[in-house]
Amino acid sequence: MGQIVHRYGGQYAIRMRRLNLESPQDHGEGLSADVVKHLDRTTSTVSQLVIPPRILKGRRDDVSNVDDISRITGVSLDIIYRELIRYTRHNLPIDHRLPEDDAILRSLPVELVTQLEIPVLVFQETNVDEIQRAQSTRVLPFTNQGSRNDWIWVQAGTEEMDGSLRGRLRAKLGPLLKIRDYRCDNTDTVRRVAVVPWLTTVNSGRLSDQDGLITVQMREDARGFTIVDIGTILGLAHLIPEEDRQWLVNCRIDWRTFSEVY
Amino acid sequence: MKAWPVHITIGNLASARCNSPGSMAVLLLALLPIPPKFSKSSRADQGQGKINADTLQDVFEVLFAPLQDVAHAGIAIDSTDGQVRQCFLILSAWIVDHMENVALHGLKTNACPECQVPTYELGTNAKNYRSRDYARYQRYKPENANSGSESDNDHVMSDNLGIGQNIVHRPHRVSASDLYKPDMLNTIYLGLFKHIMDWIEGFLKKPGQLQAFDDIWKTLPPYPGFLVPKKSYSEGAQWHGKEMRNLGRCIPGVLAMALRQPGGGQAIPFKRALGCVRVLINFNMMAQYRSHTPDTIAYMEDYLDQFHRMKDIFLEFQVTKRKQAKVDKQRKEIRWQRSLMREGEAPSQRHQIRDDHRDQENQLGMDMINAEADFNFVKMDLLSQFCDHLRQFGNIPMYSTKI
Repeated sequence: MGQIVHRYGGQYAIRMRRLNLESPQDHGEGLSADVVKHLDRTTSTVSQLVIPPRILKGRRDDVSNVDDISRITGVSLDIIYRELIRYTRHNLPIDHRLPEDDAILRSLPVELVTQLEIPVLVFQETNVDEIQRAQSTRVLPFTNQGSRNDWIWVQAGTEEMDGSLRGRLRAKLGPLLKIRDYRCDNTDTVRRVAVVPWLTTVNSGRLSDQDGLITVQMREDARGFTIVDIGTILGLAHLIPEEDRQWLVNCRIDWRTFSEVY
Repeated sequence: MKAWPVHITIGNLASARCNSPGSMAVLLLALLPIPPKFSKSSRADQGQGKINADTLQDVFEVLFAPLQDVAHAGIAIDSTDGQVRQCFLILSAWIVDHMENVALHGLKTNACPECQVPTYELGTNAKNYRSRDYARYQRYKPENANSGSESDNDHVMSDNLGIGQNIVHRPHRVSASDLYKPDMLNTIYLGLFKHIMDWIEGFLKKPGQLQAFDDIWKTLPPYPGFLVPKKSYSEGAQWHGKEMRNLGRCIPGVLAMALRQPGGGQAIPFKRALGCVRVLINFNMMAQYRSHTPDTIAYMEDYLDQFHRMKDIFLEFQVTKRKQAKVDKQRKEIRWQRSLMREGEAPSQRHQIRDDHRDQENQLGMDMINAEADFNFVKMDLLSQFCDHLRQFGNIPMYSTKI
């Protein structure tokens, strides 16, 4: 059902576009025919959504390279290399890829941060964002209390995938990394990525007959985590712990999740 | 001393503007003293009630007096574009809890302030009743009635009239029946949610799942705008609007977890209870949308229909103390009669007969409770006003009185 209301922003934008198109034509104002023709031609095309920038904050001083990441997270270097290479092959153009040589990867400067600010469009608004702050403190305390590693939504596939979750996967936010590729001459040589343990859906992401909710669980296979670009992180998720490595997706925690997931 | 605060605002301001602190969009108009509660059983109490109602009427006449001329002839107000405009300030709506509606409209406590639905249909999602004609009520009031002018309909109306008078029968251009507006705080958060949490508590106690519910409640993770509960649900003594709103965002999930493993014969009741709570929460979520389409309103109507179809699962927990006492008394009498019957039986058979009797008494008790319980309370009926309001006005604005 999410559908209609979820696309309220789209409906609004289309309506405004129509008004803009009709306005000069109705009033006979001095727009040349080729301008009107251009507007008509571009009406049907959907403009590319601009992804608002995510901001990393809370740099830790005790990390300077991949070795340190391995030491802090407890994940072996081989697995980190493998996931970095997989990430770079799947997500970056050839001339921007990270090196696949372990020795060079090891020498790249790395920063570890603990907070990601994600601008999320306010539900039923077209230009108002709210900032969601995802924390990943690992084992360190957060505001003098226990450690905090938030659940997040990651866009990992198309809308047809994963049942009611429509291509959005849940993950626990792990280390947030800034990897600087000093070999590149381009200005944009910093890769901002997050290491996230995956969750998979139970029952193919369909709503349970009994309670109408979706259950997710930790992946059983060896590849328990992956590396994703922080641009694919959509926002925070709210999961209610169920039992051993299983959670219920609370899709009524806010209007956006209710509209998109339910 | 406690007092009723009366705030005033201008209806065509955006609610975001109204609710922003320091905007001065909501002003404190008056503080009304709260009269002491009395039983209304004696003639003296009724007399005091009449005096209180008349006092309220007089106070509001003083408050509305400046609006009389302004609503009639208008007033010149400087506009932001530099023009001076003739403005007509008309009392259009008030947002109050039901008991304040009762006092302000001069109704009985179990009467809907908006439509003429009879008390026995308050919990049935009845939609076909006309709006109240308060002007006609005013004519019918015994002190205002002319002899020979009463019709049968007037007598029907009189069933809903309380002690006082409607306080808005005099201001110009004010339609008293349009003043009531549905609001989330009083109708849903402090109304239906409180009821449904009582029902859920009773429902969970039966299979012994209340502790599981409490345990899950305390482990809820943080989320922006969501206040993580610090205590278990049972430890919460008093629930305010914000806490109930918070509760609405997680209750289907927590309840689903508590009812995760149904025993024999429990699967269907559990499913029904979860479904009932879920559709009410869906209705609540959708009612707060800033804009609506015919489809969203149709969804809301569907949720409401489903809620009314499934709410019977909680019927046994919707019984008043008075009705519960009546049922307990009847059960006690039956138990006593049956104990006399068992006296004549052989001792070897008494245990078996006593067990049979206990089962029968339990079933009989349930039947009596179901016969006595009903969902006919006003806030249940007020839910059906939401969709009509959304069709007419587009959304349900929310106001804050933190000024």
